[in-house]
Amino acid sequence: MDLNIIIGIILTVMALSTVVILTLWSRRIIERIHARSPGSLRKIQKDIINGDGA
Amino acid sequence: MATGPEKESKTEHHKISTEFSRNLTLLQITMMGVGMMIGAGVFLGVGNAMKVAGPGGVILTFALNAVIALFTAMSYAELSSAIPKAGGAYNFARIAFGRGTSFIAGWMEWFASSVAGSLYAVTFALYTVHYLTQLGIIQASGFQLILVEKGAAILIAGFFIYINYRGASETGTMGTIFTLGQTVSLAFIALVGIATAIADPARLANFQPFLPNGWDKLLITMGFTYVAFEGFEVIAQAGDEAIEPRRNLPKAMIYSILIVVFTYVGVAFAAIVGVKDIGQPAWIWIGSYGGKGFGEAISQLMPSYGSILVTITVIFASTSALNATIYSATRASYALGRDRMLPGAFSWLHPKRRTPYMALLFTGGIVISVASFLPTIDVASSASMMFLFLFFLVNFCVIRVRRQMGDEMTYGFVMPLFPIPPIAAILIQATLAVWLIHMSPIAWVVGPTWVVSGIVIYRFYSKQRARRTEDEIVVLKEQPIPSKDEYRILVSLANPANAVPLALNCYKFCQAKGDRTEIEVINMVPVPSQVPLSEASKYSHAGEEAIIEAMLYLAPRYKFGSTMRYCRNVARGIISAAAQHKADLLIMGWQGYRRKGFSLGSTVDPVLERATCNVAVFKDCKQQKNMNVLVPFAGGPNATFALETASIMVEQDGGRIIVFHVAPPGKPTQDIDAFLDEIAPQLKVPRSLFESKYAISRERLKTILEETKHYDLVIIGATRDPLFRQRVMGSLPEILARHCKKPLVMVKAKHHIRSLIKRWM
Repeated sequence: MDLNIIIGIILTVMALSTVVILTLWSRRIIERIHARSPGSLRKIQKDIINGDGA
Repeated sequence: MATGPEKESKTEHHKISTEFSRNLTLLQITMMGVGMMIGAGVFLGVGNAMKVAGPGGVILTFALNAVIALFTAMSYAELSSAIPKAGGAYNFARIAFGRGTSFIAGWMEWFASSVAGSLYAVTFALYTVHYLTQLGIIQASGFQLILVEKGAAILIAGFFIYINYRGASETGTMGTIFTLGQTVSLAFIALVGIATAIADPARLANFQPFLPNGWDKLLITMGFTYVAFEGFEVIAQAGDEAIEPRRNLPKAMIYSILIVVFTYVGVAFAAIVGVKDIGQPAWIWIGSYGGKGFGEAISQLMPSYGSILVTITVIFASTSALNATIYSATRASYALGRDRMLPGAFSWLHPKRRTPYMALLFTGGIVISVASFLPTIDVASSASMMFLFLFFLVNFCVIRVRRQMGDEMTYGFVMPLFPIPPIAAILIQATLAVWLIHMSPIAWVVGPTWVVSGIVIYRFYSKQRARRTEDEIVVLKEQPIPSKDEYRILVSLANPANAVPLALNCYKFCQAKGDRTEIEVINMVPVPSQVPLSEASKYSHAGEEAIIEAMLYLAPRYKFGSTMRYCRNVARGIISAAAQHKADLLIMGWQGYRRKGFSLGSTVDPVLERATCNVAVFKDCKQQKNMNVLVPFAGGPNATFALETASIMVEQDGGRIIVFHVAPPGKPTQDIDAFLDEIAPQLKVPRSLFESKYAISRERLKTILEETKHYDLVIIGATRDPLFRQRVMGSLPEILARHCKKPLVMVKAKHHIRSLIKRWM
């Protein structure tokens, strides 16, 4: 098989996987933030470090 | 109760507050974004990108562009969650960098949306004319093809400029349905492509050579097709209208990318494997058709119906996106005029239509000029370039806002891996913009010229005249969800003449429900889509008088609130108000006439179908004594609520309720007495209040109408039929309501429907 095809398939799969993973990750962050309440950056980051946030 | 920059009008005892109607759901705003994205990019992009980068290049172009677009979408999502207000990039830039950059953002947004509108008009024309050519209609006319295409583009653009001037637009449910239809149609094409490749694996040979012109051509096609991923801007514009904007705007932006990337990659794959036995490599054959290559390939994939399917999809996709971009561009130029960064004429509103007609005129001028004079490739490249510039700026904004104001803002979403996504997006978008010169040198003249002219206009005009508007960037607060202790009645008032009768009927419900009843009187003020809701206070408050009339009766006795609510569509506004106020009962009036195409009216029909609380619609109910009340009975889901309403409305001293059932000859009648024996104790009313009456007749409607003549009031349950069926087939309750000469109440009991998709989203 042509090397270009192999690289192309790998890149396509990686790109689509990145989109899916970032979508699910973002959704999780949104739900976690709203499970408490929207707040400042400092508050959200503190929640994340404490393991209560994203 | 009220939200955002509100106005309060005080009467002697009470205040009338104002609020914005937040009625766009997550699904609706997601579909708004998807609709903008699917508008044209994929249809024009496949053939043109194939020509430049080959078959593998097309797939990679869409997949890699999605990652870059998602990075930018996350920037938009974070900023929109912190500043959930209509205005998008214009507001973000003002907060991050100040007025000058904000002007440039608004200036670019205006042009980007206008040029995207031109692209959608051109796409519509290309595919429609191509289909007519296949039918032989264009050849018969004897006109040159290019002239017909340009003429069709101008006509469709002119039509939607007129639609926007009239103040109409396709948003909300209809827009969602159209976009879902396009997406399903494209997903179907993708699935047919995959099935074809599985059935005939030899077609995968069409992918060779994978990248015939080398990897560097990917940068050109990625830049050229980037417009296919613009759609976040329109979602950001919904900041004032979305339900739970801090949660739903970011989700909608990210979901829209997820939906379109799989759709694009799927249809590009289908186009490549769809071609067979054409005597040359598939990518050369598809590329030779340029913008029409996608349609040609799908015609090969599905010979009998591919062409018509693609044409219909393109017509729906391009026209709904064209409509959305025209009003989005008009809003952008209106905002610049309102803030005096452009001449004040841009903010003039038509006295009758309430639309910013001068802003629309200039927007229409850009849309038609670009569609008329630039070749298709240059239109698409110019649109992509303007969005690249705009997104470039927004990625800078997200970094700046986080660094300087992170602790002052309230975030509903913070992007993961910050600051890698915005920095990566800035670098890649800059590269794509530079590489676009290989696709369209004209775009590199048009885009920068527009930006430079904006800088000059700001320096010599806007800077001196701009209003101080920094303090106007007020985020509209979410409607607090009220606690729920009382029975809550929402009364929707439209005109003062109807206010007192509705208030009196509401009073009867209050008496029945006891002292723990709370009343909210609401008046809807429709605002055209072309004007931000935050500007709605310019409109006269005709409903104020109606609210005050109702107050006189209800306020001294019960807990009472009143609101003027700005909305895009009265029916949607009422439905969302009922949901947000957690109403148990919605009371509204109906004047007895309808618009063509509706059962009862453009407002009453959707409210009856979609309101999630009990609904009572009053027709001709004045201050009368209801000694004899007729309840036509067919045993439907609204029967119990109809009987409850009858027991409330009937004169308590000596009044009687006749429950009337008409059965066709030969069919068994329903046992009304058994039903009444069961239901009277539940309603806590004496059984003796109700009497049953039967009739046998083939003409049920005529029999019931004849019977109504002997009564003071008729109460009937609404049909369960969906709106479409009602409009096409008609339904007995609605026909009866239209023809009944006596006072009538149509009721509908509450229902709850929530789909699996909505629950996941």
